[in-house]
Amino acid sequence: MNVIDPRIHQALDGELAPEAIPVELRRAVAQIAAAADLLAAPPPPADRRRASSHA
Amino acid sequence: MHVRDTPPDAEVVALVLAGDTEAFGVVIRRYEAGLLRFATRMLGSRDAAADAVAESFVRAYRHLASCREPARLRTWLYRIVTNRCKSHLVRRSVADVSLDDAPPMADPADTEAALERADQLLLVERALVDLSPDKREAFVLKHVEGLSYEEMAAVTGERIPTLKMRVHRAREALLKVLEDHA
Repeated sequence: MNVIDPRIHQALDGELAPEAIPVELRRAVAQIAAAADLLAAPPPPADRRRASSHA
Repeated sequence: MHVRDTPPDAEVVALVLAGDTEAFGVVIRRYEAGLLRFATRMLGSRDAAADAVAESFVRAYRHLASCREPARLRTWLYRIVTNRCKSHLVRRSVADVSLDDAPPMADPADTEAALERADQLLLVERALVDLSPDKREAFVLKHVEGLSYEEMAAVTGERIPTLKMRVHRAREALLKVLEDHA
């Protein structure tokens, strides 16, 4: 298991301001936030995904 | 009628229960996109997600009178969709989750940045699919749908410490994948 610094979880849970955690931990917070943003964006049309499997 | 101009959920529910069946369209317009996004992330397939959400709206309409807190209609709908997604997942193994079988195809009009974004999305989607359904559900509800832990507890019926643990484990797994591919 890849346990991470608990302050990363606290920042992501809104219990700590991102500025309140060390700079070296902020990257992990930003990575999770960016991943969530990607997942929240509308998916591309289905035909673009499927087309490549028939190429 | 614009969704934003319509009454709050509790009033819409009251209208439907009073016989204004058209008012249920407001519920659909208000929540369909979010529910579809959630189901897509849970099931890894937009076709299966569309089925799950459609089934959920039918169920919600039929059982609207059993929604005990109409002001929390959103949470109630997520609970129905969550259960539909779990039923879908039981019918197939997690290994069958397909991400619609193929990565996004490059479009000549795509910029380099867009292609990079598509690659990153595929990486995140695959990491998400590799999570157990419980952790995937917790992560998506928290970080993609923006629910509070209290709302997540109402949706899933789980205790908040359990949900926090699942979200934490999901983050750790996701970060490992992202670091490995950095």
